[in-house]
Amino acid sequence: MTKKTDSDDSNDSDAAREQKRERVLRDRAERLARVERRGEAGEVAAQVAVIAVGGERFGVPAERIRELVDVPAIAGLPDLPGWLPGIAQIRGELVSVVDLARLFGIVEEKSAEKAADEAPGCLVVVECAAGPLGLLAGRNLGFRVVRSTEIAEGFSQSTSRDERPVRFVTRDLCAVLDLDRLAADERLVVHQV
Amino acid sequence: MTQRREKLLAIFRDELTENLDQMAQRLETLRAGGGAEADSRGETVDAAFRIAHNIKGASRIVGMLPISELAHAMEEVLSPLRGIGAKGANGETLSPPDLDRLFEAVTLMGRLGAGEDLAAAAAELTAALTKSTPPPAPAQPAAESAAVSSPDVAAAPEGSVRVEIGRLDRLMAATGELLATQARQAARLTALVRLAGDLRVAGKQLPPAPRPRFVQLSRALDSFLREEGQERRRFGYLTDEIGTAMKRVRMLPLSGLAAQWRSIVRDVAERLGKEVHLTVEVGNIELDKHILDGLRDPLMHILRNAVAHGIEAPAGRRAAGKPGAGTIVVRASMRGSMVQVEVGDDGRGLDPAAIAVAAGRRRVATSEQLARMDETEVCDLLFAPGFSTAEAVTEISGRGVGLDVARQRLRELGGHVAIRARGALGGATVELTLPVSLVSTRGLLVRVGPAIFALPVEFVERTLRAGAGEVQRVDGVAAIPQTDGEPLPVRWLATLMGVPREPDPGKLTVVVLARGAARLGLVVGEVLGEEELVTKKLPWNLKRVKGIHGAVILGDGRLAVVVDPLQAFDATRSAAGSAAETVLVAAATARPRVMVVDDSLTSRALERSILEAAGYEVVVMVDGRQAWEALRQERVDLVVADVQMPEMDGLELTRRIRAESASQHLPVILVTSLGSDADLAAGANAGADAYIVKGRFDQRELLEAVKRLV
Repeated sequence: MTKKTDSDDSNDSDAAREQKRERVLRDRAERLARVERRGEAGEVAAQVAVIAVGGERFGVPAERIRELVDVPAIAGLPDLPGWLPGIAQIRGELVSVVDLARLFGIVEEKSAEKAADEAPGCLVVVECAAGPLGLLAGRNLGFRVVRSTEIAEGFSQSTSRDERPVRFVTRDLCAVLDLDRLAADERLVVHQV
Repeated sequence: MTQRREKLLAIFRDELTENLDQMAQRLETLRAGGGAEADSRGETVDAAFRIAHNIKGASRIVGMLPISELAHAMEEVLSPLRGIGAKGANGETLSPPDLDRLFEAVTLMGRLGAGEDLAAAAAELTAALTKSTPPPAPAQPAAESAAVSSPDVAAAPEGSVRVEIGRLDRLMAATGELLATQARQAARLTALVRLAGDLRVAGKQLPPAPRPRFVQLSRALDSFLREEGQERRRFGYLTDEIGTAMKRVRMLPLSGLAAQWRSIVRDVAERLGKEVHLTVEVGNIELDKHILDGLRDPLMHILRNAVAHGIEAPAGRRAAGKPGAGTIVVRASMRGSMVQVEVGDDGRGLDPAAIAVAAGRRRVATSEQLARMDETEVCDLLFAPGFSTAEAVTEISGRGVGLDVARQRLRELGGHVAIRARGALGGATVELTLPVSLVSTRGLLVRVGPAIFALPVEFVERTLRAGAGEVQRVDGVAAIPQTDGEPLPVRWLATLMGVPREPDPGKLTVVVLARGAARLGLVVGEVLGEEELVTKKLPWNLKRVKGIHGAVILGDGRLAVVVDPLQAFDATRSAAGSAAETVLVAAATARPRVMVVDDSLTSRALERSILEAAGYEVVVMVDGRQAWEALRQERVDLVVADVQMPEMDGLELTRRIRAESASQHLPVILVTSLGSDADLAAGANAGADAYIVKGRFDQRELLEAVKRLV
C-alpha cells in the first residue's frame, strides 16, 4: 500500500477539479443542446414538395399541388417560347406545361454533373387562381416541412436572382416558390396576333 | 358594387338577352304575318305582351327604370290587341310605324342592359310609344272579355324552364367528357379484341396438353368481348342521344338577331340620308347560344359597313339606273354541321384594284404577293389589321373598318369569313361560316412525325397521294400540277406547326383543303381517319395560338392538336416559309454501303433485295478478285461474301482485306453453305466478323449481323 503524500493530496484535488470541470462542461453542453432543440422546432413556415431543376432545388407549396406525376406526353404548339414546351392532358383536362429550367434560365448554366437533373423527371400540377399549371422538373426529392428557423433571413425577394418568383430560401438553399407570382409572369401568357 | 348585386345583374342581363330575342321573333312574326289568321296573331301578341311584362318586372328588381318604363310602354301598345291580333275587327291595329317603334324599343333595351347611358333616348321612345297606343277597344260583352287573359302572367313562357347558363355550360362540359370517355372506351375495346386475337394465334404454339383448356378459355373470352361490344354499342347510342340532346338545349334561332339587324340598318341609313331595305332569309336555323352571342357584333359591323360604304346615296343610285332604295339581304343555309350566313347588297361592290393599291401602299402585302393573288384573295386583304385605320378607311372608302376584329371573333368560334367583290345582287357579299354547335365536330386525324393533328372535316375536300417528284415550283411556291385545273399549292403541315421535318418518302400524302374556290394541299405523314371530336379549349395562359383551335383527347389518352385550316391559307400568302418549302430528300450519305460478293446470281439477287429493302445501298461483285479490285477504289461500309468462288474465294478476300491498313477494320460477313466446325474456324482465322450458313439462312440473321457491324 502506497503511503499518501502531500503531492498525492494535490493530485486528488486535481482529479476532483477535473471531474468537476468535466461535470460542469457536460451540464453546460446539455443545457445548450436543449436550447438549440427548442429553437429548431420553430413554427412551420411551409410544407413543400422539393424538386430538382437543373441542379438547383425548389420547393412547391404542398397545399397548391393537385398532382405530382411522371412526365406525360406533351403536345407542342407552334411558335411558343422555349419555356412553354406545350400542353398535356391530366385526367381529361388540358394543362399548360412550364419548363422551369428554361424559364429561370438555369438550363444555360448547366454543367456535366447537373446533367442528370436536366432530363425531365416529373410534372407538378399546381393550382393557380387562373387555372392549373404543369411545372416540368427533374427529380422529385420528396416532401419536407420547412420551419421558420430554417429560413435564410439575409435573403429577400428583391435579391433573388433574375427576379424569380421565390417566397424565401432555406439555409440549405431550397428556394420555395411563390406560385401566385409565377402565374402572374407575363412570359407565360401567349396571345399571338 | 357588392358581389351579390353583380351576380344579380349578370342573371338579369342573361334573362334580358333571351327575352329580347324572343320578343324580336314575335315582332318578326307580326311583321311577316300578312294575312295570318287572327287566332295565331292573337297568340303572338299575347306572347309578346308576356315577354314585355317579364322584362318590366325583372328590370324593376335591379333598378333599371328606363328599361322598365320602355317595357311598360310596350305593354300599353300590345295590351289592347291581346286575344285579338295585330289587326282586330274593331279597327285596332299595329301599324308598321308601331312595329318599328317596338323593334326600336327592343334594340334600345338591349343597349341599356349592356350599360349604355341612353336614359334620354329611352324616355323619348317611351313617350312616342305611349302616344301611339291604339285607342282602347269598345267595351266587350262579359263573355268575350273573359277570354282576355289576366295581366298577372307566369314568369316564364309556357312549357319552358329558365336555367342559369352556367349550369348549362357545366352540363355541356360534362357531356363532352362523356362523349370523349365513350370514344376512349371504344378504342380500348378494339385494342382488347385485337389482343384476344393475338392470344388465340399464340395459343396454337402451345404443346398439346394445355391446348384444350386454352381453347375453352379463349372461346369464353371471345364470347365475353362480343357481349361487351354489344353493351358498348348500346352505350354509344345512348351517349350519341345525350350529345345530340345537349347540342339542342343551347340552340337558339338565328332569326332572333333580326330585330337588331333591322335596327342598325335603319339607324345608319337614316343618319346618312339613305334608304335601305333589309330582307332576312334565315328560316328556322338555330345556333349554339355561345356562337350566336359571338356572331352579334361581327354581323352588326358588317351590316353597318354595307349601309355606310356599300349602298350609294339615292341620287347616285338613280343616276346609275338603280332604285333609289338599296337592298341588303341576310341569308343563311346549312352546310353539314356548319351554317353559312351571307350578307349581300346591291351597292357599288368592291374595287379589287383599289384594294390592291391601298394594300401595297400600307404594306399589308408585297407587290410579289399581290401579283400572285386572284380577286378573292385581294378582297380578303380587307380583313388585315392594316385596313382598320382611319387613313386606310378613307383610301378604300371605308369598307375594311374593323373587319379584322370581326374575323378574329369568328375564328375564335371555329368559323371564318370571306368577302366577294360582286355577289348575286351586284354589290359586295360577305360570307360567314360557323359551326352550329360547340359540343362536338367531325375531324380528320393526321400524323406528322410523332405528333397528331386534327383538321375539321368542313374544310377537307379530299386526300391524295402524289409522287415527291411531281412537286414543282409554280410562281415561287411548291405545287402539284393537276389534270383538272390549276396547280395545287402545297405546304408541309410540319412546317406550319413547327414540328421538325422528316425526309419525305417517295409518295407524299396530301390533304386537300378547300375555302370557297381556293385549294391548298397539306403534306402530312399519314392519315389516321375521321372521328367525332370534342375539342377542348387551350389552357388559360394560352389565350391565342395562331392556327390552333384547341386539342382533343384521343381514345388512347394522347392529344391531337386541332388546327385552324384557314391559317394555312393565310400563311401560304406570306413570303416566309412557302418560298423555301419543297420536298425534303434524305441525305445520300446517310445510307450505309454494302458490297455483296457471290458467284451465284440467285444468291446475289436475294441478298441484294434483303439489304436494299432494309435501307442499305448495295453494290454486287461476281467473285473475290473483282471485289478486291473494286475495294481499292470504292468506299464501302461492309462486305458480305460467299466463301466458294472462282478466281479468289471469300477466305482469301477476307485475308487481303485484313492485311491492308486502309481496309483492315472493314467488317466482313461470310455467307456460305459450308457449315462444319472446320469451315467456321477457317472463316474466323481469316478474320471474318460473322459467319452465316446458307442452309440455315434467315434474313433476320443477316440483317442483325449487318446492323451490328456497320
